[in-house]
Amino acid sequence: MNLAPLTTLGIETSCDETAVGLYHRERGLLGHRLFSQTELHAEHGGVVPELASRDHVRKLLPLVRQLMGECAITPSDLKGIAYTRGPGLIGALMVGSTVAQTLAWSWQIPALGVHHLEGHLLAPLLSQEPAPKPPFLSLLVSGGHTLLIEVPALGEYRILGETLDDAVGEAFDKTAKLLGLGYPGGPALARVAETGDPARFKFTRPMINRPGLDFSFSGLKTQVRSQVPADPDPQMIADIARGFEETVVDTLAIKCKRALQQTGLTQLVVAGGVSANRQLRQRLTTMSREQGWQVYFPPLDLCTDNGAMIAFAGSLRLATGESSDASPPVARWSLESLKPLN
Amino acid sequence: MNLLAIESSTEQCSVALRCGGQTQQLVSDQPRGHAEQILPMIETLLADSGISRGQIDQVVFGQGPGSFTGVRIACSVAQGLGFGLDIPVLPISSLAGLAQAALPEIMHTEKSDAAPTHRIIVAQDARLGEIYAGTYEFVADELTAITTEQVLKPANFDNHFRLSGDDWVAAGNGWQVYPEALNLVLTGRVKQQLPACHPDAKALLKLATEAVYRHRGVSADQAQPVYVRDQVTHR
Repeated sequence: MNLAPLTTLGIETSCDETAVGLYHRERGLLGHRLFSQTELHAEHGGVVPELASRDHVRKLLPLVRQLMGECAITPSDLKGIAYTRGPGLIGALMVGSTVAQTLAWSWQIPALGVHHLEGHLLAPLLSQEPAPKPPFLSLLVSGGHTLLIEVPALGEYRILGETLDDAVGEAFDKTAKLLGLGYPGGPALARVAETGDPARFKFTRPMINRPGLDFSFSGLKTQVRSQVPADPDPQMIADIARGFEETVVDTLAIKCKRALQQTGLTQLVVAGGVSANRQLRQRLTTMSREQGWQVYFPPLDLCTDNGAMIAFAGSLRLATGESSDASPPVARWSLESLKPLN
Repeated sequence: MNLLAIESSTEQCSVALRCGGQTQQLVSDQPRGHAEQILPMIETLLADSGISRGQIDQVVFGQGPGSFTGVRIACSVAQGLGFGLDIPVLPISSLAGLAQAALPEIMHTEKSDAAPTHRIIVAQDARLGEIYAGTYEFVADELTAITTEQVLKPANFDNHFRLSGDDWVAAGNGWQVYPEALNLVLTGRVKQQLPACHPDAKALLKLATEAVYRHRGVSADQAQPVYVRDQVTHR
């Protein structure tokens, strides 16, 4: 009996996580592995592209070997290899795409370049029962992106709003730095905010009184800076952090509501690193319950960059007959230019 | 034994295949797009030699120093082939590859019948006002490194290497980029300059002959670039 292989290997190296995943079309996610470079970049206060590329070339192949071993997957079980083609740091993407294409060539299977953001926004479909089905609205919030996307069908994306300056995750990290919470301090800020008083500091919610669905977060950071004294006590830091977080969550919720009302969509799919934020999850869940909408989040381990989402997006695309694509990695790539998945 | 070699540490990129005692090489002079060119070049060489990808026994790659991205591309291809085809990988210095590539260009001045001894200074542009440099010796056409590879300012060359003698051959584009500085510090010691020499895959294969037997290569995971310049941030 000659069964067609159904497993896709996913490789993600677009920024500072080296990540791999294996997705089986019938059995679902078989496993995923990630090596985070956060510590490597922390002392520089941001991602150093050359250091990121150097680490990918050290970590990627051992991760592939480890994951295939743990999942007992051999090359003959693979239908194809999906890799992040962009957007991202070009040198970092180059490592993943070159290894992916060479492995695929060696094993004589297709290699497919996947859009990083399509990976993110399909991640909530990976493990939800029941999974959201298009049409839906997607809120993609991470360290690099803040997007409201209308998804009429899988693979078809229309950007309704985006940030004009800092991404949400970036605003979290920069504000955390202002509060002396280290880098990248977004998650630390959210932890500190849990003990903060939401009423003590009120910041202006950016761009909510203007029509449209775009965001702006750089002014909020400036507002925070003007409130931080030279030597703040821990309670003050917690209160400022809470005030900041409330403002961000309010802003995102207001824009989601506006987008759902404008489009008439009733499902909201949230993805990206910031979708792990507890306050954001609570607020969007409450709002959706009140409005009779459905809201979906990825599991916590699939919020940040990961290989599972790339394997999954690649698997969907390979199943529609898309095959090898030797086009080089790209730092910028419009999500709206992708081929529909039907 | 079928050996495949990849070198992409400079603006040039080359792939060579040794198969049945014959070596063939393909070279691309396009400074960008090395990653997309290498697999099609390998396919062409395999087709010309009539062997399949599964018949490659070992992969050799230029591990640098050179262009960071270029070195990583050669390394990533070597890793992919090593893991994908389950074959050992042999990393070889790109500066040694350059010295080897320069050998046929060296003027023969000695009258003795024995294979002459040559000493080579290799200097490749490392940007930021520096060069990647090393010194090598050919005895009976076999290359050995005299010194370890360095990244340094051309003006510091002599302080570091302290070359004696007046019969050095100078190879590499360092002599195109920093001619005054290098000529000044090496005055009177260089008998021939070969600034247009590049490291190439064919030269790596020549070096791989002995090394293959001595080291037997490494596993794909262990194949790593050697950047030499390890200070890449300003802290």
